[in-house]
Amino acid sequence: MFSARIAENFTSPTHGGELADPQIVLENKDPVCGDQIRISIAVDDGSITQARFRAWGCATSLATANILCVWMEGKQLADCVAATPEELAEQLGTLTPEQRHCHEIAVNLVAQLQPESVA
Amino acid sequence: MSNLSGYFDYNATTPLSDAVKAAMVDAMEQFENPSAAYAAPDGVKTLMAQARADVAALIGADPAQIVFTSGATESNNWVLRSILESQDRSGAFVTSAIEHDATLASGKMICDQQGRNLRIVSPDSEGIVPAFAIEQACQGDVSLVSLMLTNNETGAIQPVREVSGIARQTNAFFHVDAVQAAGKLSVDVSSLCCDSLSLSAHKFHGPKGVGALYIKNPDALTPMIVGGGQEAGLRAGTENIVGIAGMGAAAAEARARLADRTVHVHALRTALLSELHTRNLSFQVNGPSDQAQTALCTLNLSFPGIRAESLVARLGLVDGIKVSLGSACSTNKHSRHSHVLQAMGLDEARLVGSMRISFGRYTTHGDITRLAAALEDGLGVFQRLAAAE
Repeated sequence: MFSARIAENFTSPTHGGELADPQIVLENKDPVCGDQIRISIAVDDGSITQARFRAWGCATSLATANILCVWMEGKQLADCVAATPEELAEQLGTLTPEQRHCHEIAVNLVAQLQPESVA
Repeated sequence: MSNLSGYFDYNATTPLSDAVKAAMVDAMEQFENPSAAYAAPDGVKTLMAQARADVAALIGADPAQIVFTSGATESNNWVLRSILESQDRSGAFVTSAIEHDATLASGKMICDQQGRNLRIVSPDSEGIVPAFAIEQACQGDVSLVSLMLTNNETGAIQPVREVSGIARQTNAFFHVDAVQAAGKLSVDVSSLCCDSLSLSAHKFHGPKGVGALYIKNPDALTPMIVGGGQEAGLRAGTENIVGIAGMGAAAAEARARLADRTVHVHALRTALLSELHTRNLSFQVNGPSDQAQTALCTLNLSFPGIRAESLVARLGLVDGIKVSLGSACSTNKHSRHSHVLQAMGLDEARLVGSMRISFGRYTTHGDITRLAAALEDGLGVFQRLAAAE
């Protein structure tokens, strides 16, 4: 039902929370199933130094939020902006047909990253 | 019985009891074909007769009124098709919105094929289909009325006795789906005044793949399968002897244990509700507020502010606890809610936060404490993760 990657990130999320003064905030609300994810991001000199999430949703969407935060931290913002849907799919690992909408959620969230929004 | 400490899905299926296993093992030695002329008197024919008598006794029927099937889905499909195809198409089929798909889907398919009027009656907010609403739906020409005895998701006991009178007044055939009641509550076909009633062995510690159909007047049925004359000519094919032996043993055991079972599940339900209150967990019970109208082995709960899909997944992955989900994400991003809870008119938050807990013979008070602790832990985790929302 759940891949080991989804199960681990769902049951033991390492990046839950919210930054006090984030430079970037990504938000996704699925209009159909209602899943919500909010990722707050700290950027220093073009590099993502911290990412934390709040989420309400199914197990896979919660895991997706954690996976994205782990993936972003330590990366150059420009590299994250340039990430392809295929790269994000690799991060999420194997998804069942019922879970594949979480890949779209990940793509939608990353598409909100805009380098020029950071002062 | 091993590996059952986290099992809270008895409404989905139940484990074989030791007595049932023993009966099935014994039956494996009975290899003769029951239709053969040489079968020994104390052999397979006797086994089948005993099983039929035990199933009949469980529901107060005559053994001649019991037909073995592959389960209640077959029984429900068979009755609906048989009755509706034998009657004038002007008569409506009346049923409720909270029936299992074995009734709803098959009834809709048959009515669509026949151009027959299908009338689906909604329950009230506690999951009980009001008898007066069935009566209103039974105006005019009605061929068949079908109502479940106990709802599988909420445990709500339906007013079957009253509805049988309504069906009789309209000269309609009256079928009862008793899958979640047989072996759990006292079921008596004479008292219910039904024309047919379906049950499945695996809901009361019997094997899967075997069930029965009670038919008050076997002449009212057209054969399900023809060719061999088995089951009084109604369902041809060499009998599933091992399964039937298991179902008979399960029925006998369920009947003998019914009073103890009632006390046991009542105590478990009371303990779980008490544990949840003691832990200050916020929840709502989906189903009748009156316990007298509820199969007490079923507890459908909604936890506000969380998606139960996540909570159920966490219970399984972290705590090894199995409960059933009311609503889930599904393909095409469409939300998939319980048709029963939707029919009750529950709002979106209550739908997505719902889960079904069902317990039974092997559930212990230690299991209840473990479940309550796991719910408290999981709710805390998800509430923290969603805290900013």
